[in-house]
Amino acid sequence: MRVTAMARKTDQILSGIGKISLFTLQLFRILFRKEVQRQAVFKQMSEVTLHSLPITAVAGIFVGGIFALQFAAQMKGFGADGYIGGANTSAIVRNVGPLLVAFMLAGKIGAYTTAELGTMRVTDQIDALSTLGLSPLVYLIAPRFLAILAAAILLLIFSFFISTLGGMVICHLAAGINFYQYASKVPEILNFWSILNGVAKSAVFGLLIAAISCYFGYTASGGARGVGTAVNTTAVTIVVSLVVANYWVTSLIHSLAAIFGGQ
Amino acid sequence: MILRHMMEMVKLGAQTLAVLFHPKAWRPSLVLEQLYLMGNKSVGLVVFALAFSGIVVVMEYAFHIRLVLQTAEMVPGFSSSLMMREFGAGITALLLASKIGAGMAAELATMKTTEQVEALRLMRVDPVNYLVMPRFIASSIVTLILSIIGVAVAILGGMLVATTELGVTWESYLSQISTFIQPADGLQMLIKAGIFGMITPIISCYFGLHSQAGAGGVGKATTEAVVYSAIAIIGSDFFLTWFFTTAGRI
Repeated sequence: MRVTAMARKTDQILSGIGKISLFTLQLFRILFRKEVQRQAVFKQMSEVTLHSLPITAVAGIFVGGIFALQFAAQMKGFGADGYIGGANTSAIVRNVGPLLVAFMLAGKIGAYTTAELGTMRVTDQIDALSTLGLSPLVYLIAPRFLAILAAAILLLIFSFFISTLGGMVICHLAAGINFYQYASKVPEILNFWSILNGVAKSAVFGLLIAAISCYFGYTASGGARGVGTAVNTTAVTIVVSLVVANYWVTSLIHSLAAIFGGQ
Repeated sequence: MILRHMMEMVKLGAQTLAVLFHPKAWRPSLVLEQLYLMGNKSVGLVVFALAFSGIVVVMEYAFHIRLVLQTAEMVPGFSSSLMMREFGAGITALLLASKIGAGMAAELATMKTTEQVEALRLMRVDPVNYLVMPRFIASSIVTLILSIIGVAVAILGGMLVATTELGVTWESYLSQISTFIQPADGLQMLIKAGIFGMITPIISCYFGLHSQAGAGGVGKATTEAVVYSAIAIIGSDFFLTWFFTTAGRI
């Protein structure tokens, strides 16, 4: 009995991954068609970005501050004060910045999109589009997908700067490290591979948020309860896939850097 | 707008605490049911995600420590103390905000939209007592227990990558942990986990109980529950970290 339950769960997860991948592939095929309206993409993009900008800034400052405090507490005893700024900036760009801010964007952008599309689905608005002979994928999903992808990448990269700023201010206030000391070791520690790591993670996370939220919103069913379930599933799926993708991108960049002789 | 939401949340929290200190109103069977629904359904998620996080923390720490101290010997100690102080409670709470928080908001908003909450009031059952309080207790306990499990899994995941890639033996990994980690680090994790576990249900239940009718309202409430739980967790994490790091130095 336990074994069958586990098998069913595994089957459910694997077929879910397959369905989301196929959906994304289908989207990519129609993404650059002429019918996808540029104006709709830009409108959605500015809406999503402006919508999430304040909360990204707040989360970014706090994330920078948290890790500045932790590193300051850990490194104080080792006479490595000068390195706190460099290590914190590098850690934010490579790892904790994209991950923690993307956790929040999973709610702000991902769950929001699923709620919106799911509501359209259960109130038969998507079916109405099909009835009019318009493909919902082309007119509804594709602009949203592109807009979310671009907005998430921009917001994550924006969060690097604001987190660095937050870390700087908090280090000054709490650990007595002035701005010059903080910034002096940054060029030494933050190299090309670290920045590539951060940007690659932003791109992958943006893609995951866009694909998963569009899929679950598009396939929602069953009234108000169904929308709630879809939003919940989206939040959980995005968060788990972020953690897994974080590992794979990190290890990929580590091995690429080893092959090409960087660090 | 935000201030009004916050005032209402504080009010809901105060009501919940008031109910909590009124032993006649306790509903042990509901608390047990919520404990099962939250804990048993989330343990796999937390173990899976924290194992990956532990691996990444050790890999990244090795990279940075090599640059700063020119050796990878201290990596296990540093990384496990960071996992204990920061990631154990923080990542677990963020995961649970999406899993439990969104679940609570979706459930309560569906009840609200189908007028089940009004039906409860009609039967003179207090929604705070019947719906919010069991979730509050269960979420606090579940976050505490799951972050302990999560830290253990993250440290084991870190051990896996430290022994295979950094050339640290598992004996020295474990002995470094026992010298590096202080009881204060464990206390810091437990206090953080407890506070995060109390924040999530209050925010989620607030948005669930105040949702507008219809499918749109339910979706909006669930979204807001996830977003504001996450931002509240990150914000309170910052202030708690500040408190602990400065308190540690005095």
